[in-house]
Amino acid sequence: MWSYDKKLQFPVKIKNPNPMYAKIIISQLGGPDGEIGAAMRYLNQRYTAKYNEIIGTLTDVGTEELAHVEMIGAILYQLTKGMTCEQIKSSGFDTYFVDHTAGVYPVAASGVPFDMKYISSKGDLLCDLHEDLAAEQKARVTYDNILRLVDDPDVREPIKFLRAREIVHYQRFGDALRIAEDNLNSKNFYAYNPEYDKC
Amino acid sequence: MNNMNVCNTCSEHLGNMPCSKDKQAMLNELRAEDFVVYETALYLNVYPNDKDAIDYFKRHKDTAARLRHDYEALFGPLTISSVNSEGWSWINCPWPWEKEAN
Repeated sequence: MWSYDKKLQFPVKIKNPNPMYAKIIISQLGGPDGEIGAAMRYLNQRYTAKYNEIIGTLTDVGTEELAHVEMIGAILYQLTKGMTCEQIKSSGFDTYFVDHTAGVYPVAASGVPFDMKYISSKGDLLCDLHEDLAAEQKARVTYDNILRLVDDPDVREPIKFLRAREIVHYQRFGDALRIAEDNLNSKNFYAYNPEYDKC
Repeated sequence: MNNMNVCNTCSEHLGNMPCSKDKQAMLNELRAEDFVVYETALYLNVYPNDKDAIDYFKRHKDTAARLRHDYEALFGPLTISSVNSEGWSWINCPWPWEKEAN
């Protein structure tokens, strides 16, 4: 089960409201390659996963992603707290504002709400680990794109931290893939699915 | 010590608390140490037999526990199980997503 530590993993302290930034960054909450998807992906894949190193990795990276969901929520909260009517209208945030005011609701920048279809939990170890490697890269690219669009250093700092974490998670899933392959038949990794078939 | 400390979120008087710069510095030091512990755990999950890493983990876990204890003694609980006050301090302001908590 989860316990809650009443602090953000990395500080978020944004002086200037900016709903235009919020409109973009919300993709890391409710978008196809965002933190909610990451948490759901890893935490669900772990139930049938094999090899303790891999189950531990899925559990603990998944848990860290929940901490990142919270950081994105904090960024969005601070970017929209105290925003002016003029900012809402000129930023394009008005189409979100009409339905959610300054509330935090997981959608992509396009306005499409979070969809569990963004994730895969295929019940096959090699398949799921490849999905996880790709997911971390997609998240990293999304953070790259945010950094191309955001100038405020208060916002850039937590975003740069989150981007660096994606790269480290990618490394850990690479280690997990190596461990899976070490445990399988090097003549044929696909001879059976260790999560399902009896060997 | 700043006797004029008022919570920006709920406007409650914070009384004789250390100034907010000390709180921020102590919290950031704890954040950094907790991060080292977690990052080492992610590494050990895939390299569980690395004895040097286990020693490193233990040292930083002890430091993090000390920093956490010192922070909570001054500024209140960070987890439910560390609530140790007359009243129910768990729900005190500020919340982690507020500027004042960072």
